[in-house]
Amino acid sequence: MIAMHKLVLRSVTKSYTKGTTVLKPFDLVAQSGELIVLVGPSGCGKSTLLKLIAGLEKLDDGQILLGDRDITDAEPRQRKIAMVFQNYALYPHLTVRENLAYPLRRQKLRMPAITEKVAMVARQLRLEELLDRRPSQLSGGQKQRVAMGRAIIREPDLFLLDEPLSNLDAALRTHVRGEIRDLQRRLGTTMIYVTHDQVEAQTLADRVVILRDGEVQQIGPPQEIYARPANIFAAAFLGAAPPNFLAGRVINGRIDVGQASLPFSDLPGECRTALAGREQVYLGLRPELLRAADDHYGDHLVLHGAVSSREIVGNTQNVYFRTDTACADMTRLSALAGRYLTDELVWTTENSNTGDTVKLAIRPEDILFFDAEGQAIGTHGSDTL
Amino acid sequence: MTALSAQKRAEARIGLVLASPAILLLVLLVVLPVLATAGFSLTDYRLGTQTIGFAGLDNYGTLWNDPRFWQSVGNTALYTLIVVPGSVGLGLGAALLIEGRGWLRPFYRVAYFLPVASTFIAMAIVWEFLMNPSVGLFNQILFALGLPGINFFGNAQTALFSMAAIGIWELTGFNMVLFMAGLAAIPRDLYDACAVDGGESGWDRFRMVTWPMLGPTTFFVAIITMIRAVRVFEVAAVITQGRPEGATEVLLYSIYVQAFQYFNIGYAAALIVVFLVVTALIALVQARFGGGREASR
Repeated sequence: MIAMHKLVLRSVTKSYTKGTTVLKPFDLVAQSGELIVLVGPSGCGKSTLLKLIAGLEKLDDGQILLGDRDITDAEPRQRKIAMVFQNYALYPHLTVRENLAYPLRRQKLRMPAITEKVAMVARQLRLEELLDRRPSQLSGGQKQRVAMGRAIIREPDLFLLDEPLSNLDAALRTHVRGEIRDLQRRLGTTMIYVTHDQVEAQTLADRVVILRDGEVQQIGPPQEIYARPANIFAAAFLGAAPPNFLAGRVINGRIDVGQASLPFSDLPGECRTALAGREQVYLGLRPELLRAADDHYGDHLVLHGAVSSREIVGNTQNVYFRTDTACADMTRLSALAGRYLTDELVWTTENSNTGDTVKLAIRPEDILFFDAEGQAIGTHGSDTL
Repeated sequence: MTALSAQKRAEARIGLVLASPAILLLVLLVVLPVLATAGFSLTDYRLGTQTIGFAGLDNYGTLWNDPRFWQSVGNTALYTLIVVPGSVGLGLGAALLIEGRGWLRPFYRVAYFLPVASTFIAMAIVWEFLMNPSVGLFNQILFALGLPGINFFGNAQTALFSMAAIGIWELTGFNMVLFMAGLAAIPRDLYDACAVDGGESGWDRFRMVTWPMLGPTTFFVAIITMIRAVRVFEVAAVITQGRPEGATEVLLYSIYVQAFQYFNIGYAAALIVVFLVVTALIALVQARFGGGREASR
């Protein structure tokens, strides 16, 4: 039996003392059982949004619905929402058993029922051995599991997770990430997961919400955002490394990029129409989609570059190179991308014997196009709701 | 191996040299005076006399059999028993109340901290006026309400309690500031977790988060307050001089009277040694149990 609990946020806004808007009108519908990841750099409003949903902060305007209930003005305890905090927020003076039992005791459950549920959750999360320990005697991963246990024991209508993995080391993070995903699938409970880590966003999410300065940049499944980012910020945020950005000039049915040139005839139809009539555009080339160019690439966009450095990551290699086609306006691009970008380009390849110079090309349909404001051209970013 | 230990010895020597100014000051200002006091407590020295004779444990024997000594020990203990819970409790309460008062917080903090910053001898005189049985503010209020006045310091039944009230007033502000520091260190997440878990009242939040997280702070504050309470002196010296009937005779005041009014330096030194042992015991409790109880999240 999976209860249906859809979360609907309608024009939710929040600002603190005069003028500082934390969250511009925000709309989201999380389907029942969906795992939504809110992602963005620190200060983008993602944690505030989570606190608004939990009822820990009051929203200025808008409406929050959970299932068929309007919880906009409900107290946190009435919302049937469980939350996992970055620092776990376990009660330090209580044992693991008491920590797990506390939400149930507040619900005035009878003792035998509490004992039974604690045992069940402890079994699910492998906490049986730890029940009589205090939080100070637990490792980071164990504390994390207790925090998860305290959340699921109440069988809430909605889970909120606030950067739950950021205090774990890298190896454990991958492991716990998988556990959270499995648990969420098994319970079928709607989950809102906040992180600043794009890997977590890509691996966990049914849909990702990218936030910047309190404003939604794009909402959609991770693969879709990766393939068709709505703007330069989204393109740079999702992916192991940001795309290589080049400045292009639209002239007579082709795009000139430095010395290289790309005829419209190579591009997909929708792209051609959208590009016609424009002058300045930015091109985004994902490092992992670049490939060594054969001679038959002819008229296509081919990048010639001198290798400046390389780093080896497992069986792949990041090759850094400079080219005369590079974009001059890195300050503007960095502002649009919300991160520091240099005019050094990167090629991620499994090819191990790369020389001192590179000659690279990309499939025209893999090129991302953006206008001067950094908005995607041709590929309209996925749904914004 | 030998090279290594030679290097270690050289390091130890440098360490000692670097620490020597502190060690010197500690010896000069703390260790020597304590040893001197302990030495004097074994003599019959009186201020102004030319002779000094070894008296063994005579002074300790005298004080063991001195009912005034036991009275001052009892008074000090009772005073401490009232002042510690009183000022710790009120300090915590004030800190909790002020915590929520946004922009007025700095004002309250200063207001409550004033007693700590002021000269207590002067404050004692103000209190003496306030508690004056005929013209003091407190009794004027009682009279206005048609109630009989209280002879705060004139009555053996009320004198020590009046003194304790002033002690609580003196220490509450200091304790409050310590508690506010402790409160500021409590992670907000814990309150959020408590709210989400179903904690509804302020009492729930206090019981689940504030009080457990303040444990180490509370312990520290209690110990500090205890040491300060045992040292009570000003009110006894300025207002009561131990009267009435020795009801406000406290340990430090007895020492003062013995040393600087009767000039019984030997006997006063014995009293000081007893006093030192008591405070050292309290400090030991703090060192033993205070350090290890670190709240972890």
